Amino acid sequence: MFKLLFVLLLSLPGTAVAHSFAQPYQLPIPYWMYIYSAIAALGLSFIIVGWFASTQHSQGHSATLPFGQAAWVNALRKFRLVQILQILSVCSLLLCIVSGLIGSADAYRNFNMTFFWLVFALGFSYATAALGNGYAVLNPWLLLTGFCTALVSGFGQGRLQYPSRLAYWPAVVFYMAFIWLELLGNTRPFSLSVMLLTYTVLNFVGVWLIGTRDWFRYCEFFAVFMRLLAKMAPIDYRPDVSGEKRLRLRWPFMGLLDEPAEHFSLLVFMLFMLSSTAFDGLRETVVWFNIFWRDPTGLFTLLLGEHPIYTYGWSRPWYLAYETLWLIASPFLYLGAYWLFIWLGKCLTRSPLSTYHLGMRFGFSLLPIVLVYHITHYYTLLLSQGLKIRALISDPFGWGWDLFGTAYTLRMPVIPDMGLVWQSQVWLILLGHVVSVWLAHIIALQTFPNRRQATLSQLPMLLLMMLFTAAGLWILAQPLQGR
Amino acid sequence: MLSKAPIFLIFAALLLIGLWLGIKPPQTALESSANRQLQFQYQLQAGHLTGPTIMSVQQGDQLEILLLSDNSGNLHLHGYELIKMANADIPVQLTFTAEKAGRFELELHGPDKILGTLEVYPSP
Repeated sequence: MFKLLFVLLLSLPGTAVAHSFAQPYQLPIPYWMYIYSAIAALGLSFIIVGWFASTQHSQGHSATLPFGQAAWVNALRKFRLVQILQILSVCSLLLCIVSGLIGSADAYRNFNMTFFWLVFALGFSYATAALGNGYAVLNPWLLLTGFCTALVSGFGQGRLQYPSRLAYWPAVVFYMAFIWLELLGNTRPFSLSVMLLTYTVLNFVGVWLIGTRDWFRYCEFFAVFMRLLAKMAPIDYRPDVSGEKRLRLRWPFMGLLDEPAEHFSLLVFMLFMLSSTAFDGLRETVVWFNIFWRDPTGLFTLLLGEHPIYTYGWSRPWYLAYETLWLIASPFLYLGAYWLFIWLGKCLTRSPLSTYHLGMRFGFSLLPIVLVYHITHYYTLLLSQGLKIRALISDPFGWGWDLFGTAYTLRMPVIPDMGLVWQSQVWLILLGHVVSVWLAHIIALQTFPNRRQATLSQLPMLLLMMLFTAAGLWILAQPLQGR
Repeated sequence: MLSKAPIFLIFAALLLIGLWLGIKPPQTALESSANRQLQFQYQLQAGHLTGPTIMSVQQGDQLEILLLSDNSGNLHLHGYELIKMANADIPVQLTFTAEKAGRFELELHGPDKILGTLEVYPSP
């Protein structure tokens, strides 16, 4: 199986490591900022431990404020804002597909690359974390298959019972494939269109097979991804006890306390959100490059038969396979660390609860770290390339059109001051770390019978979060490869 | 619960400020003045590339990047969006001031080859 995988990877055309679309312009953070952030994260963590150890806490964090019937919301309903956005969502997907098939092959001049990778995958994701799960009603694949269900009786009912053991594993696999294409696939406008077309067909087949509800709950990986991000948003959109949909305001991040992770596969999905970003950062560093190509351990010399640097001409596909294996393994490495520290917490507290149960309960507390690390790594792309969507809308195919008079605007990338970028990275990571530690403490108070045990249980969790935060900061501080 | 909150917040603020003052390195005088004039050369012959992998400069430096390639194409400095047509076996030069700090790829479109990366560090 292992050999077959290697042969398959080597046979994929055009998958050599190459320049990818929209590289971030930021420099590694100065070493002293890395040290500052790591020590500050540790210090703030202990302050939080002290806070929880010395004060009584209410469970008032679950308070919500319904606003679905507010006058301004009703006004928006009259303007049919949701329906307009739904039409735009489907049209955007179709435009992405068409522009890649018939438009310019230049990634920077074609609408689909900037829209899909930046506006949607980054911008819409961050908007979801801030504003709630709009994707639940704007998912273009949900809308397209829903349209098909309206036309073809019984299309969305499914033919097979979804095996519960599969849980979120299909979404994990699709997510891994997506990240592989993003980091290692060297996508171009045409290949992106093929990818989107394939995924669209997959959605139709999936809905036909297992039904709309189960497909978009367990398998459509963007739906799973956005649902996780939306747990951190202050706006919650969910049915109330009467079954009608309701909009509520809540404290940011408090949605993470509503319920534990439902299944082990969802935990792996979430850890892949963190590990894939870390992997993306790591593989750009000199350290990562040198592990293989300079081979200080001699391992790759043994495997390849000579020093890797002398095999550069023919061994690059092997390097691709090597990176692919690490990408797939990355969430399981994070899972191993997570599970170890959960087990240590169980041992320290002598809790009768199983490690599995505790692991599921605390899983979502890592999401703030996941989110801030993702933002610090990618947000500058929204400024340097994402804003160019304004021009690309006027010339989606790169044919020299100017449909809306914006084709020649924002030509220069917006590159923020580097000092500002570094500061934002440091403070965002500290914020995410503090929120994660805080949430974990609240969960501990809900899980363990007394405050002493809850505090004890958090010492390993604190170390784990320090490990994840410090690893993220270390990657941000590393010198980067030149080419 | 509320009465202890300001104490913890003050403690946290003191920690963050104290660490910042203690760890941030003092600003030192530049060894040489800004606005240095630097030149980097690249050669691309029969697929073999010579030239610096990373060009590390300070904001404000005056830069010349020269390329001699046996392929024609467009020499493109990303981020600065400087583009110049490069004809085969004729040197092409980009001359500019490193005004923006950051990390910018130098690419020869045509063969789609990344030549190197320009790292512009902020002036201290």
